[in-house]
Amino acid sequence: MASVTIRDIEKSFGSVNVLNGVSVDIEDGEFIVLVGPSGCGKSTLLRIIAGLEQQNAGNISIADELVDNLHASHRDIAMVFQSYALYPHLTVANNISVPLHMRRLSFLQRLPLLGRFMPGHKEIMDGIKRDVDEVTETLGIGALMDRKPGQLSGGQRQRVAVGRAMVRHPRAFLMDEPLSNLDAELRVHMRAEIAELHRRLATTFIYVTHDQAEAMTMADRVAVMMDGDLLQVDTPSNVYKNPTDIRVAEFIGSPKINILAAQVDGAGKITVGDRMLSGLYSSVKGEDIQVGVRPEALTLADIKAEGLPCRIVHHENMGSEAYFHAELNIGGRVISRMDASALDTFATGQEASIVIDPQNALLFGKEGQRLASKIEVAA
Amino acid sequence: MLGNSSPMAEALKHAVLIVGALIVILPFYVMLSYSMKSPNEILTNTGGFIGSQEKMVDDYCIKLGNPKKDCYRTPVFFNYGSAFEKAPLVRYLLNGVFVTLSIFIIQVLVALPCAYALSKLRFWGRDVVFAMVLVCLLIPVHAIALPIYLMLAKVGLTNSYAALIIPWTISVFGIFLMRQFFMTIPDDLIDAARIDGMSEFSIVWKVMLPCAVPALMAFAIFSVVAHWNDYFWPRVVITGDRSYFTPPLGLREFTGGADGDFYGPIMATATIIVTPLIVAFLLAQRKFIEGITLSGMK
Ligand SMILES: Nc1ncnc2c1ncn2[C@@H]1O[C@H](COP(=O)(O)OP(=O)(O)OP(=O)(O)O)[C@@H](O)[C@H]1O
Ligand SMILES: [Mg+2]
Repeated sequence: MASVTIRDIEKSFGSVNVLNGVSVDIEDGEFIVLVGPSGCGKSTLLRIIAGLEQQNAGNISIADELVDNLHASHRDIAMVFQSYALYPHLTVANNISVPLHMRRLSFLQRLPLLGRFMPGHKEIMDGIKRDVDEVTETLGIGALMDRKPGQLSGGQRQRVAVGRAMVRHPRAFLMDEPLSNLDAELRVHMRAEIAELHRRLATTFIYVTHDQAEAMTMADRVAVMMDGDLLQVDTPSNVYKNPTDIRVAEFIGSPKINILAAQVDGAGKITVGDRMLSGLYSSVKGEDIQVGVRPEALTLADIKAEGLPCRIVHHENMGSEAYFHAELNIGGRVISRMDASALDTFATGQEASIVIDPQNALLFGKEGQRLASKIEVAA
Repeated sequence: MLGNSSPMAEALKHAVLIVGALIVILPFYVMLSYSMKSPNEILTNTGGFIGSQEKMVDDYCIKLGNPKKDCYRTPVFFNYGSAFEKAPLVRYLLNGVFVTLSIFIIQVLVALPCAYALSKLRFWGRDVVFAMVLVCLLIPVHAIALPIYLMLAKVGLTNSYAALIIPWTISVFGIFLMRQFFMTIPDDLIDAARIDGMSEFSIVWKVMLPCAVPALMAFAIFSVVAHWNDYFWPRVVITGDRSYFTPPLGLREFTGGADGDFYGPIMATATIIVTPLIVAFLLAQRKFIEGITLSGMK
């Protein structure tokens, strides 16, 4: 159990900058999820924390202690890899006990054949067996102890990999997309299981994924990375409701946020197409901006209503709710998410109008930075 | 491939393969057959595969002044008997085992760490070193035999086991083969081992070696067959002392000589020499097919 502090980490491979000064403070016992599109540098950052890769600049400290010059095995952290990286020639029991063998047995005690005759060997091995049994019981893989990784299913391998990480009670867990090789159903199940494991162990978890659903459901805090920059580190609900950058807004949330071009007049009033957003004022004035509206803040209304005229080009029935894809007459496509009962009124091919909820509209500048907005409820 | 070719095409394929197999097997058939026949049957090409096994007269026995009735022999026993009597064949076989195994073990001890470094460690000049390995693959043994012989002679190592073993201990082919195999082992596995607390040397012997068993078996066959059967190099460095002879050098003892060629005993010796290889191959065959797959990785 320990806090992890990441300070101004820079990393480049040759001439390619992968991380440009990433900083984040991770508290003791926190579950933080690093999320971002493929290739943004998440794994690289994780490998630098683990000590598998050397940063070009910046420091990592664990429990307020600089670890930059410590070898991976001395940082007392455990890592679960996307490919699980189990030793293919060892049984499940041996896979899990390897980290304990390497730590508790001396060089002589580890020798093949001879090792068992060294003093103290038996007591240590008994202790290792107890710890391994405890872990396998927790994870429910006790029946698989004598199998080789090749004889396990994906979910079982995943559990063994977690077991190998858990067994030595590390100060922090690093997980690099541990669920991405599982099928959708198992992924949802393991998501809950890992979150539960975190609650029970109360250890710091640093979890990497490119799946925003995983990030939102598991994290205490989400760190959104893009192109080697950390854009925002905040709670899942803040990242969703209050993104500080248009790239965060676009990455988090499914279906994706709708972005509409808008103009602000000298008084701060906002116009999208030829419609004024009533009651919403921008802090910048007399500029072109972008308005982000989550699908649930966009509703379809009758063609005659006060909204942006559009044509519904596609609808998706999700059971309890429905997604409507609409082509705006002013150009551009939007997605609206409404209650399934809306399917009685609207269907593909119909003309309708789109109404924006100004309370839930997010304003972004031309460069994508978040703009302050003011809501004035009309009297 | 399966099921979509016509019976005619299948038959043709099998015919070609059978002819190929016969061509390969024929010399072995002749070797085995001659090793069991009397000289007369060999010269007249009679007696089928195993010969009639009629008693024959051992000329050498008569020359030693024994009465003719004591010199009748069954050909198969005569051939195999003289293979062991005329030359210390057991000694040669043990030499062969010792030399071949020593070469293979040292080759592995050298090749695995080299291959690991070339495939998994990042260091300055790695690509140049690997290019040098590739260049060395192109150098034929015979081109460097003389310099190596001279070097060994300078340090007085000719006529020794060292002369038979040392020049082969660094196998660039082994390094190349293992490097190619290690490239297929995921980096994550090595990183996991590092986090688990293994040193780089432990990783080579405890992780890479067990994963590489199929590739090592393939390399073992190349190495063992090449050095067990090697006639050229032992002939160069073992110039007099028969106690260092390897089995192929032993074959020489039967050729020529005052009594003409003894085809029977020569073929018996040849049979004895190839038998260990064939037995070893049959035993190892299953291991090849089983192999430790990397399926646990994904
Ligand atoms: N050893 C390396 N040599 C050169 N470039 C590298 C190396 N490792 C990573 N990169 C590059 O660094 C960038 C970030 O890689 P990284 O693996 O951190 O991405 P990621 O965010 O984990 O992506 P993914 O979600 O696909 O795993 C990529 O463009 C990648 O090509
Ligand atoms: Mg990655």
